[in-house]
Amino acid sequence: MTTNEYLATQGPIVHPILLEKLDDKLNYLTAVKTAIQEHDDRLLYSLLDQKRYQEVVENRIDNPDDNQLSAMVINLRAELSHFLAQELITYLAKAFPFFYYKEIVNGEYEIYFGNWWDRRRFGTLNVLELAFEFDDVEYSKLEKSVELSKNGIRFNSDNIAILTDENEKLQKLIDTQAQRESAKEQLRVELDETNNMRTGLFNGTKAREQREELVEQLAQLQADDEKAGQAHQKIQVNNDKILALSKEDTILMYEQKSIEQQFQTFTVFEQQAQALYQSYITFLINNTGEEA
Amino acid sequence: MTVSDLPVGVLPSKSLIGYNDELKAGLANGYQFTELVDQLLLTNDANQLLTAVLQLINFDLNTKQVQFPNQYQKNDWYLLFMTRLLELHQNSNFSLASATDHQELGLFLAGSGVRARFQFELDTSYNGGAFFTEIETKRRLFYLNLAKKELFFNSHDLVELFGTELRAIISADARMTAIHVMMDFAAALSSDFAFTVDYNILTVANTYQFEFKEANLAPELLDKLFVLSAKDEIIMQNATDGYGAKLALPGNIIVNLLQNIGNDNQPFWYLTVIDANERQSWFDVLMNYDFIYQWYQTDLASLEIQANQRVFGAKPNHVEANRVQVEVLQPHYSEEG
Repeated sequence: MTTNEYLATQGPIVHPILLEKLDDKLNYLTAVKTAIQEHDDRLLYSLLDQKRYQEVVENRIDNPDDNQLSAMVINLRAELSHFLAQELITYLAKAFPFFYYKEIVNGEYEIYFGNWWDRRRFGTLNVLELAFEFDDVEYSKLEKSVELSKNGIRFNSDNIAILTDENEKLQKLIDTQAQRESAKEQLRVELDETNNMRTGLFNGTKAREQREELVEQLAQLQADDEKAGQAHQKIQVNNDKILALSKEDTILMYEQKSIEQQFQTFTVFEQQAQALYQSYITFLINNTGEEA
Repeated sequence: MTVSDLPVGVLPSKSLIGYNDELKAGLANGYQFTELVDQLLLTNDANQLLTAVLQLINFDLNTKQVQFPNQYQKNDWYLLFMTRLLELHQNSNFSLASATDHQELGLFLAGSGVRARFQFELDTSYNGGAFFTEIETKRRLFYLNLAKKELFFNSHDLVELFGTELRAIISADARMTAIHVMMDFAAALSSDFAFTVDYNILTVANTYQFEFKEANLAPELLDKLFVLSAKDEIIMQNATDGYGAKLALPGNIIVNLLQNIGNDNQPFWYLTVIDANERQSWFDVLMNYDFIYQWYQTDLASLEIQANQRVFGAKPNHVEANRVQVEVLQPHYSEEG
């Protein structure tokens, strides 16, 4: 050992702990490689997050954080996710048969609810964490819809009722055009009469009041005419809105139905969705024997 | 007076020759006519049948000297030809009616019974030929041209008559029985004489693409069908292949609504009706599923399946295109799955 005036150190040049650490890393990577080669997804999940695996599966919470090892494969997340998704989605197709997945880029999966027309994009699937990451807006709509359905109300019932009511009023305005025409004619005749009436000495105020009232009624009818003129267009706009709302209600209804077919209640579904890690790892443990 | 003073006369032996010749020709013409009628009524040979009717529809029975007061019209020969051909093909799902006090034929079809009476109506345009027409409603169900060997079904009037006017009073099965008599006639024309037949909305082939009047359908139209389908608990799905929608109907019938890109690079929509035995057409679907019929009729201006434009003409867009209806679209929620 040579002394170096530039360096003051107690440590040996060849450090056995360093070698040990490198061995750990090599062993870890070899284990990951074997897991992939043998398609042992359970092993792979345990390697990717040993701490969580042990906590959930082995109920051990005292183990040290060894996620430093899994940090080595962080830049392989996309490939690992793509790899693990194959078996996971086969499992999910049975456990949550109403969810469909689309791989948008390598290893990233969008969740679609159902296979019906214009189904909703419902969030993303985190394959490595084994977690559904539902879209907050879409999820809360479904939650509320389920809640409302207990009272036989649909998510958009109120809005549809308001629009339908408005449309019926507009239709009435259109249908009563002929009546308004004759009413206006009548009012004009009366106005003429009032104008030409010789006002007696004491009747001036009364005649003026009468005239004002007639003018006001006429103005009201003309305002209705104007509304009626735009009614067709408004009805069409409202029809389009009603259609969009009905479509949403139909979709929410299908979503709720498919959940209840599989899980009886929405609450059970929520619990199952949150327990995906545990249930899937348990499934993998139970099925390892068959695969080998 | 001497003979030479008399006006110039004709030889008695030559006197009526011209007149007599005209009579003979007239009678021969009439005789030829009766032979053609015999042929039309009695032959068991399809080709003989067609030859006879082609001559009869162009036959002028009256001559200068021989006039026949009681005659059948051209359109009656069409009808007689149709029923005789069906007879040759062992199809007896019809009743040919003859007026008791004058010369006129009419037809009833099994299924529609006495609710609908049919005759041919001559096409007076330069196309020639005749329309198979329901008398009361004037619905033209198909066009027939025997000389050009063409038969075209008319989607618009088929749906109007059988889909709308007869819907409330005759069952879907009975209506299809009547339709099948017409289809059998068309099939006989194509098998016996190689007619060009456009079954149009009645086409049963799985591969047939029914094209809509409006090539590029608004997405709202598909949304409407989706909402309507929920009432019958039939879930409209995304298409398995390509962009569009799929309806799986009871009885293993699949209706696909698909978008494709045409030769002009413009998107267009079409539909297909798939069933294992290739017996169902889009028309069958409209007859059997009220919500689909409702969808089709409400937006007919966009959704209509086009019939041959040359003989039926381009249908004008709805005259009342601006007449907007208040639509009530509500999904039905039912507790049981």
